Amino acid sequence: MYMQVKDLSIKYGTKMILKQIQMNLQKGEVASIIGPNGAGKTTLLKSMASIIPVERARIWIKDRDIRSYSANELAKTLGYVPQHTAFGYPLTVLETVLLGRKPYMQWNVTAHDLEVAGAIMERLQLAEMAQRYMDELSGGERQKVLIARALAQEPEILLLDEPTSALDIRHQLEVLELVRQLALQQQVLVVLIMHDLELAARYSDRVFLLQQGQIYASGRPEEVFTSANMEQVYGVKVEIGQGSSGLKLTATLPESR
Amino acid sequence: MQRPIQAIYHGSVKSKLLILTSLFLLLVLLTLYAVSQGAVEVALPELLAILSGRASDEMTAYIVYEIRLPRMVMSIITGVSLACAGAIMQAILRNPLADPFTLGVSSGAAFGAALAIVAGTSVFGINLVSSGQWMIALNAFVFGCLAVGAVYGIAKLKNSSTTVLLLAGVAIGQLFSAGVSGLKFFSNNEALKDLVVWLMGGFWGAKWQVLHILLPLVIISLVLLLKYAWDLNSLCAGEDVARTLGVNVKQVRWVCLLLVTLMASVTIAFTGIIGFIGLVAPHISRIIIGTDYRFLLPCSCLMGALLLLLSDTAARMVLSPIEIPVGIITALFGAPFFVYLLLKKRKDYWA
Amino acid sequence: MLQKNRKSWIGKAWLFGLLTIFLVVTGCSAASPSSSTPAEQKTEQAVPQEKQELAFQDSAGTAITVKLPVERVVVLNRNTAEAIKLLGAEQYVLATGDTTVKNNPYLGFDSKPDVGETKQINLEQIISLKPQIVFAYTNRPDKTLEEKLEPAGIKVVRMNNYLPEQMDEELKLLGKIFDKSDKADEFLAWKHSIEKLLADRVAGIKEEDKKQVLALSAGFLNTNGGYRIFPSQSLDGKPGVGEGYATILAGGKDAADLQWNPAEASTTIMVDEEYVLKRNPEVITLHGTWLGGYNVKDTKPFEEALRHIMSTTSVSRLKAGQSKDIYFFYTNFVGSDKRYIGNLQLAKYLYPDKFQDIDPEQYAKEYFEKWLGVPYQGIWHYSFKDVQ
Repeated sequence: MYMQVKDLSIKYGTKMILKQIQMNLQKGEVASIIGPNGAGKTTLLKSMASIIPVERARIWIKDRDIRSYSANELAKTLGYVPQHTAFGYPLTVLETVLLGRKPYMQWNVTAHDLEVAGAIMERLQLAEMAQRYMDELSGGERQKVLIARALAQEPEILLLDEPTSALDIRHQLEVLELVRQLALQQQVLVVLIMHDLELAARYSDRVFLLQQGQIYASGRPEEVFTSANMEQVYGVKVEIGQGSSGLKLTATLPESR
Repeated sequence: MQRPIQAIYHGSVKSKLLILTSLFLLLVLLTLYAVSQGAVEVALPELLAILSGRASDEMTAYIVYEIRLPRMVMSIITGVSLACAGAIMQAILRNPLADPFTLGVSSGAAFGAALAIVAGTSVFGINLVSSGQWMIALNAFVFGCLAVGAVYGIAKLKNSSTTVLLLAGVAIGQLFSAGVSGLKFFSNNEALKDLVVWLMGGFWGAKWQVLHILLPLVIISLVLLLKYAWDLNSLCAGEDVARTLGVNVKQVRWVCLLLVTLMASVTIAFTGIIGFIGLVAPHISRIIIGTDYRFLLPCSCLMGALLLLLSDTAARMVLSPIEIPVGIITALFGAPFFVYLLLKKRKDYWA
Repeated sequence: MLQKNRKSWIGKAWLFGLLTIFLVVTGCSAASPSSSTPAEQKTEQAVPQEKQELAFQDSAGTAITVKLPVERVVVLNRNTAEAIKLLGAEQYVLATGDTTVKNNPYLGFDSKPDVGETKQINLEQIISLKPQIVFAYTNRPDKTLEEKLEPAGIKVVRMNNYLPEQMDEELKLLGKIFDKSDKADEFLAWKHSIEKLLADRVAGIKEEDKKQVLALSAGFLNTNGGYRIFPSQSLDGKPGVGEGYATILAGGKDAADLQWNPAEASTTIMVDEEYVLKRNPEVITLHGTWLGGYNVKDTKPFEEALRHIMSTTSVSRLKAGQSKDIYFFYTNFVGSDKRYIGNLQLAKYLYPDKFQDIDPEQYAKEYFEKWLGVPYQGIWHYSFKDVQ
């Protein structure tokens, strides 16, 4: 068990956002979190990233309570990719990626830091854009830079919040191929929040279906993507078939009574 | 064969260091020029002789050492302090319009000074002359810190988000401004005039004594703040991401605000409120040297020193021997520059 | 791997350099003045002549010693400047400051440099003129003046020359400083004679015959329509502010019952309309510097001011407004250094039959022409009684 969520409940004021979530995640797997809007997906991911503080003994990484990790230790273990770039003063692509090396840097950027950053940028085909500013890039390119930043942390766990929602089809596939490679070759645990169910089905080893703060179903894609589950959680009728590359889902609205 | 990334990075570092060095040299030259200007003209050779200890005219040497030089150093240090504070505030509050006074420290300090000027007579008697400057300075400092303390306290009750900080800053600022207006209303002409002039800011009568306090304070704060450079860089990516990069956001914010308040209120205490430097210097620096705080901070400081030294020299020379308050000069060039910033919209600062 | 450490090394060196430079500069400064103050240099070459010295205490209570004769001074107090001209020592004045030229233009110091107003006095200029003494008010500028000037060998003497209790002593001191003691005594005798004249004439006025007078700030009434009163008495019964106490000296009664706190910075007390309407004074005196002065010849602004006050404030409802017993006085004339003449004029306005043979204008004329040596002109007071 590489990363565990045990009995996690999160309240905001009087409202329960998450109720007794249980998750067991393995090294090198790709896990998707899906569910309708407001189900609590982002809250869950942020708790796992320790952005939202959690109680003791709720989240475990490598058999250690996440709270026992120092901020720097955690930063070297876990990388987080937000949905959007924050508004702020524009950095160049290289500067953004180098930020990911922060847990390793005192003041200077060492040759090793540059090596790591350089390699990642090559791999994601960002090298030619090194000196361009973030706001000059397209959405897809920007997303890749954010991923590169997280990768520069050399994490063992990668958490991504809807990494494909704003991308065109080509970039979507590129990103998902990339994370699959990472999981396979480098044994990185990848957890993604996905909107696109087909892509989620195609690229995930496991899927967690969230509804109103609880895990409605979890398991391999074909176990979770059933007509019954889809109707129950999303409120649509879904026909599930087999496409050449994976599951094919066709959704229609239910007849109005 | 060097890999391109290394070349790019080191190239950019080199050019940034070059910029810093040039600014520094410019500052030295400007200082020499400024020291030579005044009601008494001091030619360059004579100036160099004085500075190396071989003065020909005692009176001129005295003027240079006791009147002009402290003033130059004062304006440099104030420029450094304000620009540094401004750059930090813009990072912490993630707002390009932030300056050292955003969280109400200037209103608090103004109120403290006004209190000292107007009501001080009833405490120390009519002869304010002997206790004057130090009491005003102390009061301004105390109330400046109080104001920011109040703002931070309010923000903590509501979870310390930057929006709450900003709004609380506005509210507390207004409170103290009202206090100042009240004092103005109840004071007589002479005290009022002193207050108005004090508020406009200036380096008249700068003393080495004050600098012995100010210099170490500013330099130490600066060094401490530089250590947070990477944390500040991370904040640019958003607080969430900063946390995952290992930044203790709460601590960074708290410490930086404390240091900024210290620098700003001590500066205000001795030189009144000088606007625009804290806003403009970081912006110009960002344009020429980028957003990496390892370079942006020193650059802002140098830029602030240059701008303020220039303003003070102009303030002294334009209508010589009459001196214009330096705050007016900074507003004169600061305001149009600000408008220019808004219009030019370089690299989409305002999202 | 030189590059790896290069940046941190440069960064540290840079900071260190900055710190060093600043420390060196401050160190130099600390060393410099003590090593050779300009004053010491001067006395080295002093001719072994008998130099007289004068030791005294100025109005701020500081003990000062100056070497006589005093022939080079800078004056940052327009009242002192006037006193010096009075004594006939104006040729020793190198420069003036603090609105001397602006507010006392008749003194003739406009040909000399103006070193600026309170907060922005040009210290360099003063030092470069190498005066022996700099005169300033007791309450401004602050101690920075002494701190910057004394190491250069310049003495700072603080006096006011307009506060009634101090004026005479200060004039005598100036007489001693400039070796004009005779002239000082002569003038004081003349001044005292006028004061005695007034005191004698009003001595006989009975309580019930005394006019009720309210002394107000002219500017505040005209601009804001509000009432700022100069109280005639201070806490524990001492005389109040000049403008208010004039009422008493001129044989009148204060329509207000306020007491002034000398520790307050302001010389007026603000009251609301109701208070004034209730007290309903018979006479109003208005004080300020915005109307009148040396260079004013036209009486129109006075008439306009009266019209404005009558139409926009509640003065028209007071006894004083209805009988138009409203008298304007330029500040220096009643509250400040020339008050002995102004009070006489006020007394004449209040009790014309008691002063039919006295013309205070004559004394004013004498002051300007005989004592200051400049032509008498300007409007220093105005009676609204005869305005339509």
